[in-house]
Amino acid sequence: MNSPPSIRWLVALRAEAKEIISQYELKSFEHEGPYQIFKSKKYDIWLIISGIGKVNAAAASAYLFLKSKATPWSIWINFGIAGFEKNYGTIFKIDKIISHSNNKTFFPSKVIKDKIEYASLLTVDRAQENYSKNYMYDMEGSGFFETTSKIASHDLILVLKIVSDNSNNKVTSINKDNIDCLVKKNILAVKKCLKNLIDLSEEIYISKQKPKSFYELTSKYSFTFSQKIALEDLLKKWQLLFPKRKLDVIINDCKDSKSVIIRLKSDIDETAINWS
Amino acid sequence: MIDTIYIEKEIKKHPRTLEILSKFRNVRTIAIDRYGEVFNRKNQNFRIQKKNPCLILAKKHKGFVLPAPEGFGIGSSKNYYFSHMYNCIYDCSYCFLQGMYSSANFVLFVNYEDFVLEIKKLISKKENITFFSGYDCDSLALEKITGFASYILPIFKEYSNCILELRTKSNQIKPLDKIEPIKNCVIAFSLMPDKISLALDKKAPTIKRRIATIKKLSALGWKIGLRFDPLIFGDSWKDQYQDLHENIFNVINISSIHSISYGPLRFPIAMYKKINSMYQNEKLFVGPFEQNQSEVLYKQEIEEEMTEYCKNLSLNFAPESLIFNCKSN
Ligand code: SF4
Repeated sequence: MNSPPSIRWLVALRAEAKEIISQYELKSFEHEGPYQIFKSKKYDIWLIISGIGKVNAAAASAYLFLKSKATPWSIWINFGIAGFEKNYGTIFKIDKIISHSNNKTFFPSKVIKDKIEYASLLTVDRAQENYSKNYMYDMEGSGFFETTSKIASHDLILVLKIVSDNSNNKVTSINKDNIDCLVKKNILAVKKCLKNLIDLSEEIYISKQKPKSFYELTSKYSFTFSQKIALEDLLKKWQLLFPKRKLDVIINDCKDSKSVIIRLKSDIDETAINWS
Repeated sequence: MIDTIYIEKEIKKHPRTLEILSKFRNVRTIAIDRYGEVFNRKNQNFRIQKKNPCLILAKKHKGFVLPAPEGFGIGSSKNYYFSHMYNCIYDCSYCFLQGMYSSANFVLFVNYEDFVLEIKKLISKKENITFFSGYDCDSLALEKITGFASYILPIFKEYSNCILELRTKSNQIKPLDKIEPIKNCVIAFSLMPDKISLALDKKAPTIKRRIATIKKLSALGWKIGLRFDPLIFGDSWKDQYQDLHENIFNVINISSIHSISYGPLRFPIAMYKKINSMYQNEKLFVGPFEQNQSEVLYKQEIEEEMTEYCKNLSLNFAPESLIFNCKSN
């Protein structure tokens, strides 16, 4: 269940979450905590509604981390609306976040390339009406990022903001319907962007997996802790050297864990790598 | 290609920063206080960042020139290195930078003048010193953007008692084709057999292209360093190293060789563990390695046999005085 895609969404408002919940077929997750949570039945995808403000975003991120048993390959996304003096309706990836109240600055990773452009974000404590062309305004980004960068892989954290208000599109006119409309307009771009991130997350997932035969062998023989570490390393090497050989045939006559390790080691030591 | 450049606010208006920026079109610039904000963050993934690295322009404040690790050298009693850049556009599987840094972004220190001040201070002590460039990066691979070699080379012209080695795998010959060869500057190429290099030196010029570059530079009159480093073990390694030596010595005039060195593959233990854990399918880490108190290395008999064998190959073409062992990581 924890294999990729493993995604954690954090949104401030239910209206921002609506289209995500529908696209990823998320269902309400019944629990007694302070936040509304949704999760997929098929995949390791969770969504939390944090409420407005960076303190809520920080607390909800930590809460979701524990509740969902997030993994090192989980992708974390803060998705929502933001003010920006230009590009009404356009979605941006964020690569610089400044927390207005304490001037802390964060730099989300830029590992994915796609059509969504990057922008900077100023996280404020109160809604702003003096819009900037240099920064988007939101109320959660810094809280989300400050927390998730401590608990998740930096390169799998994404802040996505859609421009929902500026001097021509007043913040007072934002409602559920136009939020939903803005999200729907950008959902394809979001999914494409996410696809790239899922590929990276898969790489991290694979790099953390033990060879399949590790589990077979450890259930068949009794290995000590240090033998297990050696076994994992030897199996990785053995499989690289002999991709076509059958391991069970090779170790057929091994009586115990020690003889398995000796057998693998001698195979490896006797074989020089073929570089062609 | 680089699509984002982080710039420390302090050097935002440095002429070199402006010059570098003028070489990019459609690049996003992001102001930062210190490069460590981006480069030293926790929980970064080097391998993932390697797919789309950003450039960070920064100012170096200290540690411009450092003593080279023990065992690193080509004859001088004093060896120092300097790094105007951290990280590299190539992606060699054995590269120790991936075990040293948590980020694969490129850091370029633009205050070249300060490097030179430190170099001159050391030189003024009137010792014979070899300076190595290309310890934390490739010396020439990003020259079109950095212009570092163009800046540093003429300075060494004045100090014939010192040697500058530019270590590279690049086939970038600018600015070397535009200036008179400098006698005490060595352009040193890392080399290994073709097949092995194809498997391990990802994104770097092929051995064939490196040899062609060596040929060009030696014809121009530059002194060449041949660095068989790291020595990589494998099936039919003897034949492969023999071919490599023949291919090189057939095209290069011995008089243009400054030095030849052989460096075994060695990793500090913690670094080995970190790098090995980054790769799932990298044959290099099959070994056969052993571990001493501080390092992971090929079994002693393999290391010794490879070094001796390769040295003897060189002796078929070059005098012993040109040959060095290099045992540093
Ligand atoms: S060329 Fe050198 S610095 Fe660059 S990746 Fe290869 S080993 Fe590392």
